[in-house]
Amino acid sequence: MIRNYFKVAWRNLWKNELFSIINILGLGLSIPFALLSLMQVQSAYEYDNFHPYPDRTYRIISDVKDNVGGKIKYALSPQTVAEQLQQDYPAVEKATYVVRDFGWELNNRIKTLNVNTIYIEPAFFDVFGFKLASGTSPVEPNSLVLTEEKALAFFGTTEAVGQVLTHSDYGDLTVTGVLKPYKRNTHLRSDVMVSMATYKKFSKDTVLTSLKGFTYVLLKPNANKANLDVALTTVAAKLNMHAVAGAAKEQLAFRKQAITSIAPDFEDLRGNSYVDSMLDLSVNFGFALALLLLAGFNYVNLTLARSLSRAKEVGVRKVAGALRYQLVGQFICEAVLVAMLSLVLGYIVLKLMEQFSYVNWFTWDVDNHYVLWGTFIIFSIFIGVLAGFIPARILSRFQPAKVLKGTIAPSTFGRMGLRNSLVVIQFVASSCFIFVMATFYNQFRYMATDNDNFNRKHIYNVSVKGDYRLLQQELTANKNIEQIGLVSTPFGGTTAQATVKKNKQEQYAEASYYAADAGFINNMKLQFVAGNNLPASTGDSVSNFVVVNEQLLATLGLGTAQEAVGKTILLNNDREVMINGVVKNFCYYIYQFASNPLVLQYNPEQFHVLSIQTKTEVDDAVFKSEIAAVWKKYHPHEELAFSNYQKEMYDRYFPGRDMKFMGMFCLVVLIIALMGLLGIVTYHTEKRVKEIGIRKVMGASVPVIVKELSKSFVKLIIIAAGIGLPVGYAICYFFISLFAYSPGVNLLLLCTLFCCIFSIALITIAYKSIYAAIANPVKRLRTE
Amino acid sequence: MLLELKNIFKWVTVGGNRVFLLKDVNLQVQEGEFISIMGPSGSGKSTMLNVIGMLDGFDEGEYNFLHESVHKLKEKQRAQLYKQYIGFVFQQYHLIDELTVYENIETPLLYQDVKSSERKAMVADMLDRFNIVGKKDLFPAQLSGGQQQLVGIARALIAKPKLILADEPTGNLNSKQGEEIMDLFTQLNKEGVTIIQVTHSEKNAAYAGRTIHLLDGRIEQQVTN
Ligand SMILES: Nc1ncnc2c1ncn2[C@@H]1O[C@H](COP(=O)(O)OP(=O)(O)OP(=O)(O)O)[C@@H](O)[C@H]1O
Ligand SMILES: [Mg+2]
Repeated sequence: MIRNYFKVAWRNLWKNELFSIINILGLGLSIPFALLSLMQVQSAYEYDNFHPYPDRTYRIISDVKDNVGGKIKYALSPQTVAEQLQQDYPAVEKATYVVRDFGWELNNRIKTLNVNTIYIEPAFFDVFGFKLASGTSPVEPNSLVLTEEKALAFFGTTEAVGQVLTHSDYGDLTVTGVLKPYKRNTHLRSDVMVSMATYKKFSKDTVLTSLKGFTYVLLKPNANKANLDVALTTVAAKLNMHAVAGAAKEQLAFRKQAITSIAPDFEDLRGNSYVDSMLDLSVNFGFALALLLLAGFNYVNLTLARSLSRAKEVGVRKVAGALRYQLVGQFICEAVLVAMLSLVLGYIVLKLMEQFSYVNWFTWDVDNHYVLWGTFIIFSIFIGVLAGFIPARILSRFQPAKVLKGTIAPSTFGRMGLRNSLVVIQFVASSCFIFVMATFYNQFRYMATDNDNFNRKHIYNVSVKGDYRLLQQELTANKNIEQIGLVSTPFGGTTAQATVKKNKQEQYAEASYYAADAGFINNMKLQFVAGNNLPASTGDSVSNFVVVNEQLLATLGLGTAQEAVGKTILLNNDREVMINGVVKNFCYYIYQFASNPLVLQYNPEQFHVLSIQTKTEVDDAVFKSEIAAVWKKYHPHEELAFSNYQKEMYDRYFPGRDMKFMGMFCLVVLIIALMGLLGIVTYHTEKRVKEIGIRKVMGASVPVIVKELSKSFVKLIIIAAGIGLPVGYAICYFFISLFAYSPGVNLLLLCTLFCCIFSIALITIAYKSIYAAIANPVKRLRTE
Repeated sequence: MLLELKNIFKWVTVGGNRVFLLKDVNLQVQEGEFISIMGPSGSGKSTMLNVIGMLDGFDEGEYNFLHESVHKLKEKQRAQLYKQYIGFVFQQYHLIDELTVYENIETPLLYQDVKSSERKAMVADMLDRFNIVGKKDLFPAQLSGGQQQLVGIARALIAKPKLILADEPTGNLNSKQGEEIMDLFTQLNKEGVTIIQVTHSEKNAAYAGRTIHLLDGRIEQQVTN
């Protein structure tokens, strides 16, 4: 029976190539996105599956309850938990603590690289499946092990034991070992693993209960797992007692979490780095499903549109004794077949996507391919059943006595209303989607190329250490250089914090702090609303003048900008400084957030960057070599750290790969909608071939026929347009309002896109109609 | 008795008025009979045939088929009864275009859960009997009208029904092809199959043992040939 279903389905596919191509292509282009998110889900379940004792290794996680009944769940736990478990509980074979640190840069005298860092204790290698290829685990302060990849990047060889890397705050660190390559899907993902002794040496946090890192426990082989729960309760009770003495208001509780069930994260734990939360995975999958839904609409729509030709078959089969469920089964089989073929195409597309749009926040492979293919196939069957169900229900309902007599008019097949709304929904959805993507693109481009907040044009940054004055002086002689400013860190990166007070008695406020000189402020072209730039200075001492932004005035209540100039504020609780100028609020850090209070002060001790403005456009390479030549004189052993500010900011903010990926997604959405339209228009014109022939023979002109044919579709497209533009605008407005600094929703861009989408749709309709209208009527009638 | 229609009424409501398609139809059919239904176009011949074939319902009256009261049966039971005992032949053949001759004939067996090996034997028998073995892998579009109708009849017969209902089976055929079909019916009838056919041709009607004349949904006259 099933074989027969598939046989008929297969022949039907071949008989209606156009419709089959539309269906398979549509699903085939949208399935890869779903496959990709299925892969993310599977790989999340395959996280940390390479450790030696999965059945008795646990992570300890914390619930923090405050005194008003709130509860926050953390993946983190205090350091003392591991120590206590190890000491006092015989069921525990090993307990170890891991601290993750962010923002590490290591330097090997020539180059500086960002590294992903964790601090580990020696027991780490006993508990987890990480292996050393050479050397030993890091024990002493200022020692570390690193991945082969980073070893190659720093030293050009994996034989890196004994080499030294430098951290700007922690000094020299010795490489004691190199890690064997390990599976990327672990929440302990890191480039370097630094000895816990290093952490202890530099950490200033002495609060016993602070949640700094992750505790892991390896139980003894036959230990009762409930013992661990009891132990955790006891440890928590002790800690809480201790904390009460220290007047902390929060209560800690600990739970165990099997190492294999860390990912995916169903609880949205805080501090759970590198673990995908189930929520994120679901959102991802939701997008993919929405796309599939659009492609599924095509299937439903085209199948229903062709129902007239299928009606006879239904009638005959019913007369031959088919029960309704058997017919439903047949139509669903057809949809499943289409879905299967789409899966094949989709898999190929997925592989191409992997090749051509490497987006590194996706996992492109999983461990267990049987499970993967099982999921893919079940998923495709599910999609097929879903897409096939509505048409199957409608088609199988036909009464043989009526369809075989031919008394059922075409309009009663598959409800024009349903089909029309599917077309409208597709177009509204795809235009909204494209609008949102365009708006994001616009925002990213703004962030990447913006010169309104601060000037990036013709600016080059050079990192300096120690005494920069001679270097600065000599560079000033370069004919290309207009001006050299000095700053602690350029805008657009992390900011230093300071506290500001109106006066001693008042509450303090947090402010962002930049050490800068007048030249830097000039270079950045900040707009003054009152007062003046910092006084020009080359001295060695900290100046008492500051430039602040309007937000600082608002926060401290210093009145208008004019009033504020000349007033003093207390900086970092110890220094009175005078406001010399007030600049307009601008985005110097993250575009999402409104600006904080900002303080710019001449503070030579903290100058780390020369901000060089050139007179005109210069060639990067030439300019760099000029600077490098001067640099060499003063720093013969160090590489010049030099960047084109404009390019650097562009690279930071413009998510090229992600945009490419989203662009592909948009394109697929549009293609699906257009193909659906093409299919429906084709079907309707083909159905009217005979009518067109007769009309032409009777003397109707081509334009009249085209108008007649395209009328109803144009109406649909106009309805879709009427809904799509306002809805799309509203959605874009919502997204853009997530950014405190944005160019707003670009209405012109939306309108342009809008016109594009709808002209393509209109062209599709016109093309098909004209094609049908100019065909030779006699030929057409003869083949009827 | 194979089937019995008692005071059957069937109507549609058009603009508030009842339009009768069948009016007080009474009919008894014995097993092994060969009956022709005649009447002008629109007199309700197809309607009556569809009611007998359980493809269509009726509004009043009783219909007994082999001691089952059809009007009391549920949809599903009716379909079960129908697919066991009744075969249909149409004027427009109504073969499935996507299936070969072989597969078209096989279709009813699929819905009756006949085993694959048995199916093969039964279809082969039928092809043999109708002399279309050579055509078994062709699609309907590749056959002449007469050949298509042969396939249609073969399909109606494959499940060994007790009753064949044929709605103008020769309507689309030339007179020679029509004659062949009529000979076939006579042959089947001799083998014990009950046949009810609708026809416009006096000549074809004469093959049957009894002719029923319909006018405006009413049985006007029954003639035994
Ligand atoms: N659903 C319906 N609504 C209204 N009238 C109907 C309906 N179905 C059938 N009729 C009418 O019932 C009458 C009988 O139709 P039927 O198809 O049985 O005629 P027929 O005798 O088979 O004619 P022909 O020889 O042309 O095939 C016709 O007048 C037809 O218009
Ligand atoms: Mg008729």
